[in-house]
Amino acid sequence: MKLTLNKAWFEKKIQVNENYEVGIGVPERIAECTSSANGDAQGQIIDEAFAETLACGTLIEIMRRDQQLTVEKLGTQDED
Amino acid sequence: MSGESNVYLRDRETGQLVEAVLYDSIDQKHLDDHRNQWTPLIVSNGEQHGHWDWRKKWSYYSAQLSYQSFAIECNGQTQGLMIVNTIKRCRIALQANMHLVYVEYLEAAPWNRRNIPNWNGLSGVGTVLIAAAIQLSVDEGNRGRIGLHSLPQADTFYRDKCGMTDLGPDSTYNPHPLRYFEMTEAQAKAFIQ
Repeated sequence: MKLTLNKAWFEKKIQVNENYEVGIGVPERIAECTSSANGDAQGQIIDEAFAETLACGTLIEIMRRDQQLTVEKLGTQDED
Repeated sequence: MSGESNVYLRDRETGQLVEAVLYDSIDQKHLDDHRNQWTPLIVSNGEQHGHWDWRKKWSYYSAQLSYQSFAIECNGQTQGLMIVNTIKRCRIALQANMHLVYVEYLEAAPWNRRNIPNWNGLSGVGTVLIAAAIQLSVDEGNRGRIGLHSLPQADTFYRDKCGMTDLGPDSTYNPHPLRYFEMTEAQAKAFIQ
């Protein structure tokens, strides 16, 4: 992409003493609370990380039950 | 390798235009400047987007073809950053469902948003980045159509300075419904003239 605007355009468009705030985008604290259902990409990152954590925790829980271990025994076994 | 365009910003102290460079890709230098120069000033002021992590955003968006990033450099420093999405669609009835360039994130360096001692403030970062978004829209065959959700304190810039149509608070942007702005082909032509 090439922006080919002459100096006169900038002279006209950027006024002396102008001081606008120009920020765009969802503040991250808000994005963290937002579901990816609205298509927000930042929300998707957070949702994906949460899904990974949830899947990992579920797998450990299934394995614990499969081996008939209590949470305390699983913790001790992990230390061993 | 990113492309470069020669642009200008205005020095707030002297009132003169100064040469700057617009890059059509955020690179490592820009991310380093954000971390080393912007972040300490932003965090100390507790700003609304002070916790935006551009490194994380860039690593996520740069891997996807539908996104493009931009950076402005002047005086050896990164002055502004922007990420856009090229596959979103319009909401204004006149151009409903047509493709546009949607600005996901845009931020100016903290010394360009407020007076900070020993930092040379520059005006025009938003103007140049919006011009870049319009040019990309033209290049993509979208005739200058762009859209964005503005932070509340920036509504005036997009409505009055850029001449975009204000479609009001967007309820799909829960829990904080930022206002959605869209630029038509005619508005883009007026802005770029």
